[in-house]
Amino acid sequence: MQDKKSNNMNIIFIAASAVIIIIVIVMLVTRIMHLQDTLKQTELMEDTIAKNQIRLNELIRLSKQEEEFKQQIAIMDKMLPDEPFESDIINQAKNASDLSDTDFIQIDFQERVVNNNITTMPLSLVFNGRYQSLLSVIDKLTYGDRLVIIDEISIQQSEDNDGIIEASLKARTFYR
Amino acid sequence: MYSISLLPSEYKSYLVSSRKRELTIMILSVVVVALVLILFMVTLISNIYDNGLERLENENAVIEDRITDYLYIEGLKAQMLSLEQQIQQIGLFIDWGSMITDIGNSVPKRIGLESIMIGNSDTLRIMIRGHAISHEDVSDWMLKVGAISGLQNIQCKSLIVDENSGLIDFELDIPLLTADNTAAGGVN
Repeated sequence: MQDKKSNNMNIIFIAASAVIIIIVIVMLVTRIMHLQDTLKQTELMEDTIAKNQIRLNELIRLSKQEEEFKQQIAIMDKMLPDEPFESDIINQAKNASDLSDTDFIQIDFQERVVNNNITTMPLSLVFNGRYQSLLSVIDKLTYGDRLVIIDEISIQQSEDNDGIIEASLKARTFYR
Repeated sequence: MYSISLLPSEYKSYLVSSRKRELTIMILSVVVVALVLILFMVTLISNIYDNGLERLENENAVIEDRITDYLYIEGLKAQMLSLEQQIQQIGLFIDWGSMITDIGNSVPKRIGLESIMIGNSDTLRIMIRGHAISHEDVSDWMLKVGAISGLQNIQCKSLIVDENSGLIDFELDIPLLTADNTAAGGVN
């Protein structure tokens, strides 16, 4: 009787051990797979950190040029504004004329042409003055705040032959 | 000399099977303990790596936060580049001012200019009208103008003696574009 009971206990112990072994093996496999996954993720994360660090360094480097960017944008925004601002062009021509000691005779705006989101504003201008003054006007118009491209220049001596010449310009200016 | 067992054979086989069971139980116990130990070690190592990964994730989050703080600068640069591209798209332009200055400075006293016309309505060219005292003055000046950058291809359209004044009226035509459609000089 005693032997039979002991025998049964042994069988239960063996069965329980087998179950525990299976459970532990499953847990072990799961853990090892998790570990492998963690190792892979760690590698990826290290890679991501390295890339992000490079990007951050680049952004910090760029941020030191912030003022320069703002100045460039302000300059280019004046060169190519988002509205026609015809008054700016008239002022630019008038200022160029005043600073160069010439007479600003005429300005005509022609029909606008839209091309690739940029609107071209053709215009013609007439100035009277001495040769060097007219060169100065052309220079100031070309290198003024607003982008002005001079396509045609006609310089004609006045009939009085008093040294005063007339410069007729055909030009283009632009807006976005 | 002989060992003679007087135990019954049933009892002997019982003893053998009992020893086998004990051995099995012992082996199983060792295996269970060993597996549990391995599981413990693997869990420990896994936790160390989990903590390491968490630390890296936190570090990355801090860097990404800092990147977010600086993202505006990329927008600013993109805006600047877009404007730059739009301005470049408008095209190259010629520095007429310095070209006219160069022509004006090359004019000798024996030559008077009546008009200079510069345009690119069809082809980029300069037309100059003027008068000179002699034919040699015109040809000498043509050589001088030809020395100016971009004005190499000078063509004399006409050369007429004005019977009233005795002066030589001339007209020069200077195409500025080369065959590959690039300006010959003074381009910004």
